[in-house]
Amino acid sequence: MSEVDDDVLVRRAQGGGPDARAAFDELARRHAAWLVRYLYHLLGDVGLADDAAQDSLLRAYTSLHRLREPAKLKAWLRQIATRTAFNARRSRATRGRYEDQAREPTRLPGAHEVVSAEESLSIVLDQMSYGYREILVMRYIEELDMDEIGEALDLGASACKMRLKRARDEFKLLHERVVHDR
Amino acid sequence: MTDDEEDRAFGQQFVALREAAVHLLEGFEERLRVRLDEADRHRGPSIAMMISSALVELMNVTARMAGYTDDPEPRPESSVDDP
Repeated sequence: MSEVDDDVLVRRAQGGGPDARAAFDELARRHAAWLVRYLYHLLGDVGLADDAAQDSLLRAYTSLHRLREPAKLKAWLRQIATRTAFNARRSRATRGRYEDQAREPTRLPGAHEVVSAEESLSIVLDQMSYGYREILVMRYIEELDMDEIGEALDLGASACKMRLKRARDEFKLLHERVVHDR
Repeated sequence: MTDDEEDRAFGQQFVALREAAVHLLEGFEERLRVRLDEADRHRGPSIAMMISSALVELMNVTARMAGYTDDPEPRPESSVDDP
């Protein structure tokens, strides 16, 4: 049986009829995995990513009537998730200021500890400025082109390129430090 | 190194993270279902739907005031051919 396209399901879900909820449930089922993965790379924590994905899908459900181009569902969800991650990170930072400071800092590898490529990339991303981390995740993990990044971040093409260049510079600097400190 | 070359090199460097599997936590769908049910309970008609209904109603009132009715029967035409 052929799968119904996303845009058809979006229209059904927007229609508000008896099968609207079932249509949205199917959309959520299709998009949950990449949303969680994307949010995990933005936030660096599985639990936070899970919460942010739930929040993003809930927000998508309650504001689906605002999606004017159903074929652009994925880009729209990415925009919602990007904002949700930004807010989640900010509220975590605010909470952190008031909470006990006895939290464990980002764990850095010991001098002779062998870390995988995946771990060392994660360690560097954890230390980056959030705006730079965000654009690196979009470009090199999600493999978005500059137009898609511009759409998600609401930035023009030249601003995107500039931010990406600065992000790469910061990444290289931090990566060198992580490698040399070992 | 040009900008494009550096871009490609970074793409290669991030392969490990691109390929890393990230799984949904157990019960994700069930937790989402509960939250969507809750949203359904609290949600009235959307603003868009209310505006749309109001517009339809306004068009109906305007049509009634102008004496227009949706007549399913074809109106008799006054024809110059009539004898």
